[in-house]
Amino acid sequence: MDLGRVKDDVKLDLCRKYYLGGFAFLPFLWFINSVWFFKDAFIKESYDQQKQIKTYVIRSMIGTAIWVAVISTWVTVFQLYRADWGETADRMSFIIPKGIV
Amino acid sequence: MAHLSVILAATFLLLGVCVSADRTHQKIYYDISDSDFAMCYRRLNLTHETGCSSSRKGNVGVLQFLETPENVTWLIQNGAHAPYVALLTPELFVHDVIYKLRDSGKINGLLVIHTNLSDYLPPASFSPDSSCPNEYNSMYSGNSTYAHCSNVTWNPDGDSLVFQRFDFPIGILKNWTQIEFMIENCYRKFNEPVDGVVGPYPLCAAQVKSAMDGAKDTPTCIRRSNTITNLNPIGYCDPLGDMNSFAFIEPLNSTDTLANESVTLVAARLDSFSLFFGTDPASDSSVAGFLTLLSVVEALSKVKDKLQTAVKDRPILFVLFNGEAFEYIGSTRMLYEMENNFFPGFLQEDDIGAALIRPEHIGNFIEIGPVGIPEEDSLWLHTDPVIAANPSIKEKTDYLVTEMKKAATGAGLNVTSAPEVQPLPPASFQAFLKKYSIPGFILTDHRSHFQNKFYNSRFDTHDRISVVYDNVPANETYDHITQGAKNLAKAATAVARAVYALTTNSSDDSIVADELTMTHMLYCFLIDHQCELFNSSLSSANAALLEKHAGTDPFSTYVGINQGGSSRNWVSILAHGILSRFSGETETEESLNCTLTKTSECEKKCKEKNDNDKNSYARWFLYTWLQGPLNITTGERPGICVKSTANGSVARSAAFDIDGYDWQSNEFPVWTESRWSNDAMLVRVFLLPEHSYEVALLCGGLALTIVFFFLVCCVSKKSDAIFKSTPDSS
Repeated sequence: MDLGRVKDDVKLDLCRKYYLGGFAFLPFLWFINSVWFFKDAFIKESYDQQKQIKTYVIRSMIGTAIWVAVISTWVTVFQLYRADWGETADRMSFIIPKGIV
Repeated sequence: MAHLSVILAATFLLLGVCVSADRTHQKIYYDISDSDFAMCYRRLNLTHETGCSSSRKGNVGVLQFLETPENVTWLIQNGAHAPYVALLTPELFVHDVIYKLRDSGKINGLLVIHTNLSDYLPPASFSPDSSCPNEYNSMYSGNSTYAHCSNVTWNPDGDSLVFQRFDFPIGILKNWTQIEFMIENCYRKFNEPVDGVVGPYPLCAAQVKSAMDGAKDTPTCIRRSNTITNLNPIGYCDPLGDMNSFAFIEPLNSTDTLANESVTLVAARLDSFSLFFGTDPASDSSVAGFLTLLSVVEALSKVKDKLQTAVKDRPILFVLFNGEAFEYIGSTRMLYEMENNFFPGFLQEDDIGAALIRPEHIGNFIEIGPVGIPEEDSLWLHTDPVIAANPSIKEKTDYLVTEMKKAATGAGLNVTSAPEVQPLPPASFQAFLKKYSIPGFILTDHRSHFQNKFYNSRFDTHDRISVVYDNVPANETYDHITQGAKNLAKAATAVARAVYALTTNSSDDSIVADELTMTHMLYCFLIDHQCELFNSSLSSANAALLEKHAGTDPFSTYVGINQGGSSRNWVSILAHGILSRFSGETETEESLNCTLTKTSECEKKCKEKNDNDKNSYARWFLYTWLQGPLNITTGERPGICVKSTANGSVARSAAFDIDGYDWQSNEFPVWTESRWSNDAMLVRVFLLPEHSYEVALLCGGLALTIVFFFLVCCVSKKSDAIFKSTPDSS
């Protein structure tokens, strides 16, 4: 879909849907939302729906940031301590690497 | 039209690249073929991983040929092009040098020359086993006087290399043409220091790969192999194991319970190992012993008629244990089965308990250890000093020893008692003595420490046990009776007569182990497996497989892995086939009710007989259809149906078969072998450019990409000016 051809109220509707959808543990929706509507939220000349779109985009960005922080922390911790956790870590793993502890 | 020609040109270009890809590979790499190298691999036990593993993609290092100790010192002190892959002569590949190289941190892999050329002799001694083999499952491990070989160091040449962990790959190279290429065209041309200075880049490098899948220890890797959440349901390691073989002179009486201490068990071990996969001839370590046992079986089978009544009360059980080199896997398993009324296994299936053999039924234990290199021209009897504290056991042991010595004297063999204060050397007997007091002895070629300076190593070759064929024409080697064959046949005669005497309380000097049979067995197991004895002792399917191994080294005696079935390795298949023939008898045309000219009919009858005889007595016999001897006039093998009590029992640690086994209980051995993928092992050499050259190449490439990226951006922006615009159709 080319955002340039979509009317502003449809944009707002779309942005809201993506924002709400993100709460269903779908951080990628927030990430896409913040990229996709970035121009409309911050760069374009002001229009009626811009304030609301800006709110959604900012919240989506914060949500994305939190998820990134949480996931990268977990990945770091898991990678660092996987060997020490032994059986627990093996049970959490879908793919156990070959040749290393 | 122009488009078409462009597409065509591009297609041809692509095609050209694909076709020449192989040649490009050959221009870059010189590969060592799979059959010409053998790698050190990984095994795991309760607490550790042992052996070698490379990185997943293989280790790369500048090739350095080390011929003298000075070369080694030079590499450690002055080598400026680390990491190195060192190519060593066998003489240098010893404990001290390996550790020095490893600790220098400059080594990324080791390759060792392993050819028959006399230029590269083995070191004076080399044994990768421990100096106290199997000490952790020894009967003496809790004994203050004898634990950890404190009394006798059995294997003084042992440097425990097999039980060390190496972070880099180690391999042997077997093909002299390829080694010469590596030395002359790779090392001397590019890498050899001239006046201490190594020439300019490019240098010749080697890539050595043996990427192992298993890690940490057996409990971890078995658990991982069984983890169901694993998306990649592959195993990481497999338990070591194979099959034991056993046979009786006559089936046991299935209606009466066996009397305690009535069975005479004659045992030998089948397996050995070395640091490198598939290169473990084990001439003295195991082959000499189990061939002597097979010869004993043949000799006693010939006097079966005279033994028939005596063995009803005093059965003779011959056992070939497998996996013994790894903490007595086979004997520990058999003992476990005896204790739990599972032995022999086929009785359990029919729920007939009468003739089950339990440990307390064993009255005499005779083990044939390494017997190929007689010390002081004598063989030695080892008895256990701990159970000898019990006067009745001592008396029975002394009786056994006396009978053995008497038989030996009759056979013209010197047999001497080893010092009584000495504990038992490593042997399967220990697995039984650990829990039960059984009178017995171990027959070996050493008074105290091993005679074999190459115990469990790749150098334990036929010439160590006097099996040599100097100046013997090639077509006569098979029948040429070597000194080694004479020695072993003599030992077999002595043991056979002793067993006969113990069973019947009378002597029979007509019992003689056949020197020619021993000659054939030695030739087949140690020199060339494409031989008459092997071909006649295999099924036709296995014989076809055997043919595919033509021209290769003697079969590996390493026990290998057991994934729970009853598959055997080659040594085990062949030893079992020979045991069947020697202990059993060939069915005649009358007994099979067929004419031997109609091979397929007899084969069918033989099979039927095996399947149909379900009554308890006949269950003792297996009928096996083997290729049999070659008919010289027709050039064919009509086949034979062998009726024998020879049977198999699993030689795999019970630890892997008991549900919820507590690993920490240390009750059973838990050795496993790491798995590796098909392409996990590789050795090749290629030219390595200077590191800065590689970096410059990468940076240049990146710079070009960026320049063109901007160029394309500019062109795209100014496209309206450059290209005539067309109206958008959408």
